[in-house]
Amino acid sequence: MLLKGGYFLSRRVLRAMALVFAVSLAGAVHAGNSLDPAIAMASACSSCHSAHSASSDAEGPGSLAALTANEIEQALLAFRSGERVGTLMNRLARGYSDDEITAMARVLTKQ
Amino acid sequence: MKHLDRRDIVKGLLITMAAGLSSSCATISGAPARVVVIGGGFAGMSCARTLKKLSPSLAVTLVEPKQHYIACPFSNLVIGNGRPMAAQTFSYDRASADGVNHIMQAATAIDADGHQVTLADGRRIDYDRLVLAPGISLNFDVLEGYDQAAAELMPHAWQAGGQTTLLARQLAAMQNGGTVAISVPENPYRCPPGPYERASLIAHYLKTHKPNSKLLVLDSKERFSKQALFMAAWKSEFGDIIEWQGLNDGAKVISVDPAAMTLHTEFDRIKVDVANIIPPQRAGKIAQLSGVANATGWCPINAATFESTLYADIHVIGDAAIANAMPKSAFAANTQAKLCALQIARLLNGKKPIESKLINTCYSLVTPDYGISVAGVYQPDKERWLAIKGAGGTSPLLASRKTRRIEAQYARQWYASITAEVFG
Repeated sequence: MLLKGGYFLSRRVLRAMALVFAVSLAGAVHAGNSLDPAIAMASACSSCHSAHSASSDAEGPGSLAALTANEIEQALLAFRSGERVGTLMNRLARGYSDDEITAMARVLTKQ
Repeated sequence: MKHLDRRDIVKGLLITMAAGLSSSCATISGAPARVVVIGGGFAGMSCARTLKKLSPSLAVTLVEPKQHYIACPFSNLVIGNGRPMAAQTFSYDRASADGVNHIMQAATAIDADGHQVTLADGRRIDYDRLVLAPGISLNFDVLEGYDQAAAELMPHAWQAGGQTTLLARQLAAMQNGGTVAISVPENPYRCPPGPYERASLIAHYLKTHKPNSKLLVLDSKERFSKQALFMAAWKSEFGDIIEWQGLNDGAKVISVDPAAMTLHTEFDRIKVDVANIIPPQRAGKIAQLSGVANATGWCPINAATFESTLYADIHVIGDAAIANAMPKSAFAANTQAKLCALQIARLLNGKKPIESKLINTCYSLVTPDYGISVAGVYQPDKERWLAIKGAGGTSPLLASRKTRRIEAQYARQWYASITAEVFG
């Protein structure tokens, strides 16, 4: 696909865009604007969680792509409460409110 | 949809925003807005590429004289543990592929009023917003006897590259029974736990190959990052190989004599076989030349936007910035870069900046199979980045071998992820 600036978008990115449009329309918000704080917060996750970190070892941080928003949200809540024991995630999850966890989980994956 | 990588989703998010933003991302004359990024490390490269993804119509220029980037994280494994420098080396090709104009020149001056950067070849380039990500420069004015020439005999290895391999070669050439010293500066400096990871990995090498040798850590501080964890691990893994001395022990190195291979503290003159001098540091040279750094040597910023408190339309990210509770780490630099890019895209579109929390994670290796970490969650409060109380902290002091092995593995995966995100 060519945008007016002449930029070619890959099929993968287009699929991501379609997904994101769905997310933002579902929230009845102007594209991008009100999601920015959640996007900014969630953008830190990919420093560890990406396709590049996914390993054959099940213990790795791995990609979040296979998870639903609800699964990410529940995992973060369980890390925060200590119900689930991780290495780093307990320490990080304690820095976020319920609303922030919900918002990040939504922008990280589909609803 | 299940096959989508999370990074693609974020990319998609950014591009979705761009669809709404790009039309207005222009100057009054109608030309695209211009953002110049100085410095191509974990902060600058990340910021330039994120900006282009957020606002494809932006004219983004990366000013970085080097053809390749050599990463500091994991470079302590090059020293004594056989990691090839190739694993630390990354190309800037992806910047150009993303539509970022990479100019292979050093920036020599900034005209903040005229919104212009001068390059080493004399060219001047205009900007609407400037991002400074120059990293650190080593301060050769503080430690008597330690200058660029001295660093060829007593390497700092604190900017990865030839210095890293020099220190590795010196260790390899040292006889069994030799003495290695590491001199550690006061805070702040790049990578707070870095000197202690280095001490650990050198001790690991000595224990394995030269077990009669000693490692002396001469610290200018009384306390250091992950101290309890490091100290316990040093004892359990290396016995008496590492001897740490702090400020109260009079261990602060005041001057060096590279020809005699001696280090001078307040009370002592210590002869060593290999000396790793990590000197005091300040923001990269262009920050000093342009006055964007203050008397501390680092750059004061408005926390949320990373905009300089001294000059409008200049943002500072990464090691050069005074980000208070946030350490000078590759992780912090990369997260700051992404937030800064988002803020600049908003500002250029007449939108208010947002407030966002950021995180940091620093892994350290004690041995290739023994990892520990420190993490933090931070929020902006006017000019300060504050750590959120109750969040963050270090690995537990008591943990199984398995936990330490898992953290070492996570450290490797973090390195693979972050370098792929920034340079891949």
